[in-house]
Amino acid sequence: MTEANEAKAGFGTAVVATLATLVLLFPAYWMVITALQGDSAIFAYPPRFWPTDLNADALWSALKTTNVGRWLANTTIVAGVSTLFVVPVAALTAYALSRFRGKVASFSALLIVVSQMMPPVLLLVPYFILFRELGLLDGLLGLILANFAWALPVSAWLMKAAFDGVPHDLEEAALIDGCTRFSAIWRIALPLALPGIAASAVFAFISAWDEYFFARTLIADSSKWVVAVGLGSFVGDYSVSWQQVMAVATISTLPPAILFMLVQRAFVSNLSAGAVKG
Amino acid sequence: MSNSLTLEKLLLAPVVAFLLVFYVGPIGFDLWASVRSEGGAVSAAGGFVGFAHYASLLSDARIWSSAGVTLVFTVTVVIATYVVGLVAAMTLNRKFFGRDVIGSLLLIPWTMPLVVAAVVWGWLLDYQFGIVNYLLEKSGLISQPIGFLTDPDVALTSVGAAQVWRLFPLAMVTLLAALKAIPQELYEAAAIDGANRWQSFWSVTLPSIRSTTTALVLLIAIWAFGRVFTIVFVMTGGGPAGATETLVIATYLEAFRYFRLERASALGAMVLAISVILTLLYLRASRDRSK
Amino acid sequence: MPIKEGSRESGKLSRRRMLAGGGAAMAAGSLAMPAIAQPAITGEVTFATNEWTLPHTARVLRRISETFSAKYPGAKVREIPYPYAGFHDQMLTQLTAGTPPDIIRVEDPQMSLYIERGFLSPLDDALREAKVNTAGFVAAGKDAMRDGKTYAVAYQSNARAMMFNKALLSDAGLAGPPKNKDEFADYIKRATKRDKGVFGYSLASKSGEVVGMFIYMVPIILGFGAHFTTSDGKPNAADPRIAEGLAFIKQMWDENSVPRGLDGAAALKLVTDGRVAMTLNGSFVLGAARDEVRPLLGVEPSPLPSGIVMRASSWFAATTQAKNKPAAIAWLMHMLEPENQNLIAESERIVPALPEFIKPETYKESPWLKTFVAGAATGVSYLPPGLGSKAFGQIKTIGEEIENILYRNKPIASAMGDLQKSLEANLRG
Repeated sequence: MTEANEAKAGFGTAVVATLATLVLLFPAYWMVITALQGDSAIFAYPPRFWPTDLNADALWSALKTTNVGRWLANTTIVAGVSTLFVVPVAALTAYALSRFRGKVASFSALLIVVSQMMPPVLLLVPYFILFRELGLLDGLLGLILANFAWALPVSAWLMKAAFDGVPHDLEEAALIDGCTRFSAIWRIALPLALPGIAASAVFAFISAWDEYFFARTLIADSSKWVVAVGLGSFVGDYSVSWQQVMAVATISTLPPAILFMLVQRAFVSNLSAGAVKG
Repeated sequence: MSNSLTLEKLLLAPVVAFLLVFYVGPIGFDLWASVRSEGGAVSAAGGFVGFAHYASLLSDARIWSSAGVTLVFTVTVVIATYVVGLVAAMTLNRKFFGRDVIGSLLLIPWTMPLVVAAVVWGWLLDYQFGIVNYLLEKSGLISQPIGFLTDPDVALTSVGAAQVWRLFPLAMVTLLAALKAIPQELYEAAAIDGANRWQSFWSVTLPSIRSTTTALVLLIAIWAFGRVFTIVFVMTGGGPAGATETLVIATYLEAFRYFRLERASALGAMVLAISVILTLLYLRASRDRSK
Repeated sequence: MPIKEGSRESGKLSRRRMLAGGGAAMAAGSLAMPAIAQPAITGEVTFATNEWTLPHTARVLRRISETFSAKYPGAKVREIPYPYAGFHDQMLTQLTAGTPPDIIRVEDPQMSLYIERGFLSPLDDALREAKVNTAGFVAAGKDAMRDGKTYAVAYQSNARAMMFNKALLSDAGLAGPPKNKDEFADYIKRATKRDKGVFGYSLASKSGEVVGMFIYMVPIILGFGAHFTTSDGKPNAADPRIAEGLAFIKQMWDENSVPRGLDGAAALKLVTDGRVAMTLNGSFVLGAARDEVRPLLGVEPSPLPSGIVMRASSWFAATTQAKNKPAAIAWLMHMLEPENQNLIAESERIVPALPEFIKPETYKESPWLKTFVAGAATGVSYLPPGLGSKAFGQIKTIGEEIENILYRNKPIASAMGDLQKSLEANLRG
């Protein structure tokens, strides 16, 4: 392609992509707009596309009257710590599954796939009993463990695909040259599989951030609530102020969104990784 | 080679142990519950009823209807999520002005809490107050509001759309990572051979991302089939008139509306069994193809 | 409020008799002290209800808990606020697993199941000790009884009456509320103004919220004189009066006089926002209404022919496996104290377990409360009668056919025929 054509194609792509993105983001726009309006906005008729009377009252009152700050702190701890542990464990597991084909590996692969098929509803009672016996009820540690359990199979599965995409040759070469296996993993396989691993880490974080079912089951003390449960406490109550709900929702969307912005370089932007030369 | 085996065991044993406790244990509990009489799951007083629950489920027209709904839902969500994710990933794989910003923005559906996403979509599609109906009526495209969530013929599409909206960033990100790993030389070679863009897509791109595609498709399918709950439940609760009642929702209703935990366990066991069988078939098929 | 320590036995007895006799004015600040001879009432009591996050109710519960702690030194309530969405699922999970909180909230659908599974602790001894006038309980009190034993005490019993928005009625050129079913149907149609977002009537019709939908439909169905089962639990879907009630609902639906697909909270919000002309609802609406809407609301008994009043109630119970049963039961008895009963009525404008203790001042401030108290005395639960713990599941089955009628335009006769068969099949097994 000539440079001029490339530029034109680039511009065309930018326009289409922007329009598509705007349409796709409409629900997010609606969430934010509702947070900035008067109470009956959602039942207003006719609905206003561009509301004129915006105010940030709901955001301030949400921050003051609900425990959003505490919820965010709890959620950050639970999501952060569980992801921190899931990533290395899942990565090593994924590496093993990708490179080894023995009986243990096949059995593990089967377990990992089957684990993801459990309808979460049926895990509620067993987990409640299990965590009660382990004395983990009503503490963030229990929730961290539950989220770890939730994310592990999926992360391992996604990371395995990432490792599968990295050819064995380089590692074999390194091993023959006298490298230890761990060194080979750390210096060769890992960097090449990094985009997939990063994607999977982000996914684990988001799942933990979002998680409602187990958080509700395993925590009784409202000071340990995570954001998902806090939000859930609004839905279905007739005294709910919808703009406050959306305000809390907007606030709780910000940390993962910001995290994404920072981390997206690892998989959206152009990384030098990819080409296996020579 | 024994070195490899030891390393393999070392890396995998802890994970296996963990999964046995946290997943196989509950599966065992549910299998046991599924053969107990009502109320007998956790009390010794209940009796053993063998396969009675399974039989009753298989002769229940509602359950078959749920199976149908689940099938349609799973297939459409998998295809739509993959396609949208792939298109987005391929777009982001090119250089264009504002790409980084667009890339970050496209991740936002993923960051919205599930319950909120479901509630917002519910408002957007509301029959009398939703803005989508309002815009459609105002622009003259329709004369009556569309029952996005109240018309049994449309509801499944609506919740499917919300589900795809929520899932596609994962597909996008995973596929983008895979696309980046494709060496430039392959495209150059294809170009030299005279392939146009479409042909090189089929002959270079798709084959190169096969393993990721397999893993991703399986993942989404397993989810849509056996795990997806919140968005559908909050948007329609399985209605209207059962139009969006997937097997997962039916399981929930069995346990918490009919108070029949044992029957719910049986249903869950069947869903699990089907998932396992379909997965094994799928994996065998994809392994055969790559030989 | 200073609490006087209990006086001698005889003094207590005569005071109770006086209160039981008329329930009028009460000496301020004087509370009868139950004689507790068993283990000391002390320690932490875990109390689970979603209402800890509802400002009005939380205030009441906290006030009662404060005076409770003052009465029993060392006793303290620990609030456990599970979110409403899934609250009862949560309770069922914990009850099944054997470690529930000490006090839990129970609503109509769960009551039979909990009693049948032995989850709730009988309260009769404590009620006797505290000399509670169980004959003065609202009708909902009976729902908590089985084989002569009482397993829970009602917090609120919300009977339905017709509430109408005077401004919206006059906007439609209507002089006052409807007096019979034909006027009702006609007024609903005329008061609807779609372009203003105003509806003649409000309905919850969302699938997932089985109970919400039922609570909105049953006042109308009962208004024509029948329920989906007879009082001894026999399926009754083929009763022509049921068809009449459903036809009334379907007509409103087809005329677009009711919103579609809303859940209970949203349907109520339309009312409290002043966008609905008439509704058959409970007195809490008046408490929850916006300030500018409240003065516009009027209350009349339902204009439907049968005169049967529907009620939705909630109770508090002490669990069998409570860690601190004595204190839990003591809290429940404390709630039944006259002062607290009036507090409940006055703060939330709802009908408590023993309406005899509502003070005249409270009636003066909320005169329509009398209509609701009368309703609560005779009202029936929205649950199909005679089914015990199976009632909840059958609500779902019934709800499915109602949805078929509304959403799939299934003919009412055919739907009710199928429903009758389903109910018979379900209840046989």
